[in-house]
Amino acid sequence: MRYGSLGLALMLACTGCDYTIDPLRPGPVLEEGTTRPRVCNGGRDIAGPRLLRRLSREELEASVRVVFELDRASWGGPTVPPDPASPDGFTNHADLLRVNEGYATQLRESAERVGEIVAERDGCDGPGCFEVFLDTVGRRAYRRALTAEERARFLALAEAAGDNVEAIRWASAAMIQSPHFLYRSELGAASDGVARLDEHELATAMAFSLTGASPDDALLDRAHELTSVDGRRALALELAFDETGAPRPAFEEQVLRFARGWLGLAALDNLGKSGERFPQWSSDVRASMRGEVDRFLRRVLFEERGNVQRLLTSRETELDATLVSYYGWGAEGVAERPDGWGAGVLALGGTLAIGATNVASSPTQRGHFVRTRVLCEHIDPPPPDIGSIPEPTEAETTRERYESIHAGDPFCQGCHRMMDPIGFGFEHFDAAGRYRALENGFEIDASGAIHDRDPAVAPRTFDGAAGLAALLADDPATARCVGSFATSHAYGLSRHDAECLASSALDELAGDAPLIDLYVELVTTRHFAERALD
Amino acid sequence: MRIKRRSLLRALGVGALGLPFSGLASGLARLARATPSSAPKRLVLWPSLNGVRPDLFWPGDGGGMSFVTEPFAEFADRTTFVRGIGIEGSQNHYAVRSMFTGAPIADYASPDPGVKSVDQVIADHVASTDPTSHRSVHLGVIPADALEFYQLYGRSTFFFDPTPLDYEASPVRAFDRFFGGLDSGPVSPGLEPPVTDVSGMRAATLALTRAELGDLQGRASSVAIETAKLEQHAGALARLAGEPMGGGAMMPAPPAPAVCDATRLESVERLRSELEGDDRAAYRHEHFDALFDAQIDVLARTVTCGMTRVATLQAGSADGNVIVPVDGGLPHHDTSHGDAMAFARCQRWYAAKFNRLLQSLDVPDPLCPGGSTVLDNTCVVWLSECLPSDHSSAEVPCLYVGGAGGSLVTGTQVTARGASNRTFLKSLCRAFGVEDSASGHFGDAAISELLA
Repeated sequence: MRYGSLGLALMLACTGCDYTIDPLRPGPVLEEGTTRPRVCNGGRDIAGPRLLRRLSREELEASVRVVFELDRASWGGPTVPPDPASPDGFTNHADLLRVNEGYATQLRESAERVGEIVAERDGCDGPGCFEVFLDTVGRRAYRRALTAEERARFLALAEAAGDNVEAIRWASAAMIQSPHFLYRSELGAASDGVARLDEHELATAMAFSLTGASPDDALLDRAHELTSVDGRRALALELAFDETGAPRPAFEEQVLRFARGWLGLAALDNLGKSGERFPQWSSDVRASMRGEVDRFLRRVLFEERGNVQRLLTSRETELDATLVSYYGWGAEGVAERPDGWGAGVLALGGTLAIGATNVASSPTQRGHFVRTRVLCEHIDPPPPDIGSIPEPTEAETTRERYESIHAGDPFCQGCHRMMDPIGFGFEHFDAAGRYRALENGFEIDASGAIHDRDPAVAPRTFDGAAGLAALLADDPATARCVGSFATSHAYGLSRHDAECLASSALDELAGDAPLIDLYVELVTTRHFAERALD
Repeated sequence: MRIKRRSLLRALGVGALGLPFSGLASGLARLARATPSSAPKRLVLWPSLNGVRPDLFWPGDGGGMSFVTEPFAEFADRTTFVRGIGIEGSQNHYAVRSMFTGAPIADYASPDPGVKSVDQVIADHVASTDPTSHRSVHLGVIPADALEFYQLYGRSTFFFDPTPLDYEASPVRAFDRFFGGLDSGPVSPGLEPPVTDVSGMRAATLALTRAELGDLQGRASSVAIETAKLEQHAGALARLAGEPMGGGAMMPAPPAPAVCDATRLESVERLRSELEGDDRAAYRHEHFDALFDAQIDVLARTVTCGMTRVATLQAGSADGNVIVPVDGGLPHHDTSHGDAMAFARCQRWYAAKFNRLLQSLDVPDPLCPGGSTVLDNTCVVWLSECLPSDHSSAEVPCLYVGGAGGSLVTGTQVTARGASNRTFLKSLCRAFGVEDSASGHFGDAAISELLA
C-alpha cells in the first residue's frame, strides 16, 4: 500500500501502529532510504554535514541558462533522467542525486547539444577569443575562477578541437559535464575546528537556495561580501526582492517549488475521479484547480506577504471560469469563499481532491496530511497485511463508514485516532473537491478533533474545515513545521535535519514572520556558512 | 525448435491451450526441452505490479492458460509457470526492490539493496563475453504517478547496478536515442556524422571530466558519503570510456549491429508531437495505452537486432494509480484493494500488452540464422512483487516465456512451493551461463527443474 502520498490502503491500516513524534524517535536513525545517519539529534543551530550535491534537473537547466545565456527558444532543456523524490516530497535531496551510467550518458547528450548551440552562436575568430570565452563562461560554470591547471586542460582540449568554434563547442560540453559545475560544493575548509564555506561556496549556496540556479556574474563579483552574517542578509534581500520590495521571479518560483512539493500538487496532473460519481470532473477542472492553488499561494505568500497562519486561514481565492461553473458560486476573479467552504490552502478544491480516492473522500488521507505535513508528527506506514477496502455505499456517510471500520477496532484506533478525526473536519467536501451539504441524503457531521499522543490529554476539538484551520493557525508547531519543509527544500536535506540546522530562523517564523522572510533568515544560520568536520 | 515442439504436441493430441501439468506434464516438459543452442540469449524482465488473485493467474489442474494469461495463449507451449515463489525478506510494495535483487527490504524506509539485480548480473556476463552496443535497456510506462514522484520511496525501483538504474519514460526519446537517424532505412545507430572527429573529441572531453573528478575526489576524500557518491560517478565515466568495472583495458562497446532497423515506428510517431519538449507528457495517464505499445515496440526492436541482450519494461509503479483502460478506466493500485475480478481484468489487459511483446519477438532471429525465433532465444520474465488485497509476497505470480536458447524448459508448470525468489534468479543466471561466483548474492540453490 501507499506510504507518504496518503494512499488508499492507509484508510484501513489497523494494526501495529507506533505513533511517534519525529524528535522522540530513539537511537541513531538513518535518513530514510539512505545510509546517512541523521544529523539532528536534538541540537539547535548546528552545523550540518560537508556535502557535494549534484544539481537537480531543474537546477541543471536553470544553471545552463544562466551560464550560457540560453533562453527556451534556443535550447529545450536537458534530457537527463528525472530526479528521485525524497520522502519529504522534494526532488533535490543531496543524498539521492547521483550520477550513474545512464545519467552520465544523458548528461553528455545534453551537454553536447548545448555545445553545438553555443558554438554556433558564439563562435569567434582571432587570437585570445577562446580564452575570453573560457574565463567568462568558465567562471560562471564553475562559480569561481578556473585554476591554472583547469585552464590548461581546457586549452589542451581547444587545441585538439582545431578552431575556435569547435573549441567553444567542446569546452561548453566539457563544462556542463564537469563535476565542478554538476556538483555544488559545500565542503568548506577546516578552520578553528569547523569547515568554513568559502565565499564562492557561499554565493553558490545562496543562489541555489533563493533562485534555484547558479549565481550570476553580479553575485560572484560580490561574493566577498558573504563572509559576514550582515553581508549575507543584505545580499539575500537583494537577490529575493527588487528595489520596490517586490519578489523577483526566480525567488518566487523557488518558493513555489517548495509549496507545490509540500502540498504534493503534482498528484493533480493525473488525478482521476469516478465518472459515474463525479461526471463533471475533467482535465480542465484539474488544471483549473492547480491554477487556483498557485494563485492562492502567490496572493498569500507574495502579494500579502502572509505568514503560515494566513496560509491556513485566508478565505480568499481566485476563480477562473471553469471553477466558477464547477464550484457553482462566485465569479471570475478574487472572492471570499462562501460560508461552509472552509479556509486556507487545505480547503482548496485541488488539495481536497488529492486527499481522496477516485470514489470517496478520505478522512484518513486528509488527516494524515495535516498530521505529517502541517504538524510534522510521524505516523508509521500502514501494516502490510491489511485487507480490502469496502466500497462506499449509499446507505451511510463516509464518516460512518470510517468510524465503523476504524473506531470500533482498538488496533485501527492506534493510528487512526491521530488521523481520521482531523480528516472528518473536511467532510463537507467530496472526493472531487466540491462542497456538499448532505451526503447520500444524510446530514454531515464535520466536527473533529486533534488528539494528543497521550490518550489522557483532552483532544482539541473543532467544527469544520474553517474551525480546523483556526486551530492549526493558533498552534506554534504549525508555522515551525511548514517552515521546516521550506528549509528542507532550500537546504536540500531532510525536513527532520533542516529543523535543527535552522532552529533560530524557524523560531522567527513561529513568531508570526512572513513565510518568505524565512528564506532570508536561512542564509544567516550557522549551517549556511559552517559545516561539521568529519 | 518451436516448430518441432508444436509438432510433437500435436502428435500427442495436446493443443497449446491444453497442456496438462501433472503426470504427463513432467514428460512433456522434458520433451519440450531443447538442446541449448549457441544462439545469443536475451533476457527481458516484466514486473507485474500488485499481482493477481491466484485462482485467476495459475492454470487449472487441466493445464492451459488462466483468465489473466489467456491473451498470450498462443505462446502457451513456450510458457512456464513457476508456482510457489516468495519474495524473500520482503513483502508488499517495498518488495519491488527485492524481487530482482534477492536482497531483503524490510520496509519503505530501508536503504536500497546494495547488490545488483539479476538483469545487471546477466548484463555483466554479456558485456564480458559478447558485448553489445547497449549494456542494458530500461524503459518505463508511466513509471510514477507524476514526474515529481519519480522513484519515491523506491516504489518503482526494481533494477540496481548496485545503485538504482534509471528508466526512460518517453518512447520518443528512447527511440531517438537508440535509433537516431530517422527514415534512413536500416542503419547502424551510434554512427556519427563524419563532419568532425566526434568520437575523438568526446574521448578528450571525457578525459577532462575524469581529471576534474579526480581533483574533487581528492578534496572530498575525508567525507565517506561524498566519496561513495563520487566513486559511483567515476564508475559511470569509466563505463562511458569503455572500461570494465574495476578498471582494466579500454574496451569500447561495439557499434549496434547492422541489422538494426532505424525506420520509424508508427506507435512512437503517434506520440511524437505530444511528448517532444514536454517531459511531463510521458507521465500523463491518458497516454498509457499508447505509451505502452510504443515502449514495447522500441524494446522489441533493441532486443531483436541485438543492440542489447538485457532489457526491462515496467508499467506503472508499485502503488501508483495509473488509470488502466478497463471498465471505463480503473486506478491500478486502488483497484488492487477492491474487486478481485475487476483487478484481474486489469491484469488481463496487461497480459494483452505482454502478448504484443511476445508477438514482436516471435520473428526469425537475425543473429542466429537457422530457424529459431528471437523469442526462442529469449527469456521473458513476468514476476509480481506481491498479491492484491493484502499484498502478501508469498507465492507471487511468476512465469516466463521463451527458453533462452534452449537453456530453460518451456511449456510446463513447475511447483517450487516455499522457494525464495533468489532460487529463481539463480536459475536465470545459470541458464545464461553466469558463473556462480558472480551471482553469489542469489545463494547457491537454483530450481533445477527449470534448467534444460
